[in-house]
Amino acid sequence: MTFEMVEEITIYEAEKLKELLLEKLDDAELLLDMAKIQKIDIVGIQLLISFIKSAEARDKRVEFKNVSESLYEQIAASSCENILGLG
Amino acid sequence: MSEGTLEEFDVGEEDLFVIGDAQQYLFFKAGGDIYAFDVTHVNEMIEYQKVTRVPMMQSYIKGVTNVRGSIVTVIDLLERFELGSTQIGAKTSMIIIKNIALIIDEVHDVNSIVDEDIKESLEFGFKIEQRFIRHMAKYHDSYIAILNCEEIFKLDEIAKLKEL
Amino acid sequence: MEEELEIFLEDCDDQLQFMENALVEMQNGIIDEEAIGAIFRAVHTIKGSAGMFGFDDIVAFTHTGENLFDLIRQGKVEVNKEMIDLFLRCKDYAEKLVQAAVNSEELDEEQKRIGEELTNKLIAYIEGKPQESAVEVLKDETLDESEQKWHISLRFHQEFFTTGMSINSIFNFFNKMGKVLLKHPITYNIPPLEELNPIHPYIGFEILFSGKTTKEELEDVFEFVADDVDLIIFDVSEKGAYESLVVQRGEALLQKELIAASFASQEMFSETFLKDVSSEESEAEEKKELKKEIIAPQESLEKQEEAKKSESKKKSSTTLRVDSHKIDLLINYMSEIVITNSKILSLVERENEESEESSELEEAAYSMKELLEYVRDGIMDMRMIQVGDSFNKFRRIVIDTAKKIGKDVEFVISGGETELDKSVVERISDPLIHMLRNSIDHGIELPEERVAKGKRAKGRVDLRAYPDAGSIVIEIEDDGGGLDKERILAKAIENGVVKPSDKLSDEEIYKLIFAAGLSTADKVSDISGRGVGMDVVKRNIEDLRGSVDITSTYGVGSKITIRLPLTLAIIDGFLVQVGLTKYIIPLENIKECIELTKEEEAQMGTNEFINLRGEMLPLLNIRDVLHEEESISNRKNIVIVYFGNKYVGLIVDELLGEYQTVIKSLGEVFVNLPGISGGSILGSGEIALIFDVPRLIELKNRVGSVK
Repeated sequence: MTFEMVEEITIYEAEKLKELLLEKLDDAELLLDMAKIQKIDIVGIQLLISFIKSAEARDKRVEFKNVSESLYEQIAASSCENILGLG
Repeated sequence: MSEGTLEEFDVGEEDLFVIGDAQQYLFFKAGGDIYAFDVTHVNEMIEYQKVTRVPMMQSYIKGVTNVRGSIVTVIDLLERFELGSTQIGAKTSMIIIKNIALIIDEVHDVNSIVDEDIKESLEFGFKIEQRFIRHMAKYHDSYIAILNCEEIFKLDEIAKLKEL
Repeated sequence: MEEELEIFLEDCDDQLQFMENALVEMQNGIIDEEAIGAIFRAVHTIKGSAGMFGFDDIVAFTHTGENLFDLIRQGKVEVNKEMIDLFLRCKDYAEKLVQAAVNSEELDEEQKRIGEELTNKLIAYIEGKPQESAVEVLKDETLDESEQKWHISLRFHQEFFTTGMSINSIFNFFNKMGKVLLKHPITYNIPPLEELNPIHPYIGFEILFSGKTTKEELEDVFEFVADDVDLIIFDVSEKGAYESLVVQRGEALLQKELIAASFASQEMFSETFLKDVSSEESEAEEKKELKKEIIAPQESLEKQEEAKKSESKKKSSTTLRVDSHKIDLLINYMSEIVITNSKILSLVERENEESEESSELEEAAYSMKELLEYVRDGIMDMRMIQVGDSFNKFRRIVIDTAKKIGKDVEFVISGGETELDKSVVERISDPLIHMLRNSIDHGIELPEERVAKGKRAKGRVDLRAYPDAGSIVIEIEDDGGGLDKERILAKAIENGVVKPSDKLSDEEIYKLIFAAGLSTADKVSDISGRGVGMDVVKRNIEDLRGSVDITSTYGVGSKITIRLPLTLAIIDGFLVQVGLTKYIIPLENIKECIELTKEEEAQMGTNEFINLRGEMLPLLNIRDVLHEEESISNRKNIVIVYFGNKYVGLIVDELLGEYQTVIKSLGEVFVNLPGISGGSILGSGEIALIFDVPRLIELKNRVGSVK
């Protein structure tokens, strides 16, 4: 899955992304292409952690690919890179 | 556990000196049978008192009662087990677990049972549904069902409304 | 101006005033530790606050000043007359910097030049001091004896994300004040997606920080978001500090996390403690309350004295920040007193039933009742907050939302001074955000579209609050396209919400947008989602014992009206009996009570309404609907209740009188129960059930339509 529709994972997108991610939970492979994502805030980080938890409850693993350096920095600012499996 | 509520029940002396790992269980009677709860789950025990009926609930939900200023849900244990309803008498009591009062016939006492006497519950052979039983405990040559609060209080089940 | 900025401005004004006061004292020759300390703290506080907002100019300037004052404090630089004059000029300049920053203006060239000059002079004093201490100032970032290690444990209240305060700016600020040695996110409270409300904070942080700061200074960092964060700061060298953190947080998993992230070692937790935390999770909440008071890290006497001194200097304002838990506790006690007093009153009345005159006891009991009402109102008043603070937080969301979808919207807030119970304000926030987004997304048209319709290109959304007849009304009004009746109806029929044969009034059609699973937007947009929401919004408002209505004119705009009770904790009710059960009807929903005579009953026959002064009044027989037992009194009365513009007569047995009552929850078992909002413990100890009139009216409609 790629985030086609957004460039940001922030509070303004959170409600919609939650719905999208909920639908994606049924997919066999949970590979998130972050190539287009430029910005993430704490709300977005929290959302992704929640997504990972839901995936784990279904015995699935979430993987992020194409995480830009800037995006990584933004996540690392909150020390959440390890939890998202990026560390 | 609230202060003082267990004092009136006899804690046998031999129970205080059990060798090995043992837990304490509250024994009580409901519909003529003896059951037990793990004492650590029980908040307190009180005599049966007036219950305010709450409409539209399952028949085993008797309503609510006031336990020292808190509103507590009242469930008839026997009805929950689908074994008829408890006849209110002089010895009828309420066992309070979390925020729920269970109506039962009579409270017995608190006994220690060593862990090795605790067995898995049997698949069949008991009056009540197996899911309500957490373990079977051997006590003085008889088997006693230690009840499973989680199943008895399963919220999505007991919070269901009766059909209008 | 944003609320946070306003607080910032006020705070800076205060600090600058303290500074000026101290400088004037110095000019008069009183150069003592206290004055120097006051200035140092003022400079430091301004720096801290400015850092939160990213006002780097202010931070840089005050940083230089702070360094100099640190040296003065340590006795390494001596204050002279020229210096005091310089400081006064610095103070004036700082004032200009703050003004400019708040108004997002640039300083003019002349001002910039003055700033440079002042900075250079300050630096000259710093460098003029004995050489060896210059080294000390420069090595600023490294640990020395005066540095202290603090643990900062951070959780957020529900609204934190919507305040717009960025968490990174808080982290950045710590980096500026000292060194963040460890930073660990706490994620175990984040639920899986299914249960996640994405804009509520579940995440938390544990931070180990080292710097030359006091606890108060660290707390000041959070001053602007104090109501929205749950903060615990302690000195890590204190014995049992981590243990008490785990207890205070009441989070069973915290201990493991602290050990895993190497904040603490296993040895820091005593064995009995381990058991405590794991086995008594349910009591953790209670403990959290209690222990907060008891084991707040012991500060040395000396420190407390110092804090007191600075406090008395710093706090000239007359407001008091009180932990809301303390007020809740007071309300609980008050509830008990109100109940006990009702009991006394009923005893006294029974005692005096025979005699004509009222006894002294009765009089005393009644004046007691009156006094208690004052006290109760006073306590309730403490919980009341102005809605404006909360409303202002929506500005950013509204503006950003509009911008995102290319709409131009003017957002007008009025009635911000209207007061509402804090917990109501907190719980209404999410529904309001949702409805505001809806207004912008579905209501307001694109600028070109508006112009084509002959409207102003800029749309307008109004959010207003005002008190009305014992409740608070909040309105969201937009001048957008309005609701399309035909389309809503078509959609509702398509989704099976209504039958094509149903005859619906305009109002009923508009109300369909609150029905579950009904989204009229032709295409799903980014902002307000896909039909999830409005039904949840309605439910949320009703859970607050409120109501929501919508009116709309096609092409002109829509108005959503939310009606909320002033408070949740206590209501004035009317006690009635049906069968064996006592019920309380909220007074605010009662129009009048009438007796149902035998004749009327006979006239009524099997109809479920009576003719009341020429109007048809639908009736709801409580005994039938709630399957109550036969009446003991054989009397029948009708309580006419209303909600919005709907009236229903409730048939009850007996009217027992007005009753002021504390609402208690019946417990989670009864969450699905319609028509009953809670219970109340009467003076006799008996429980009465409280009617939820709006739901009861709904129930009437449902029962009616089944028949």
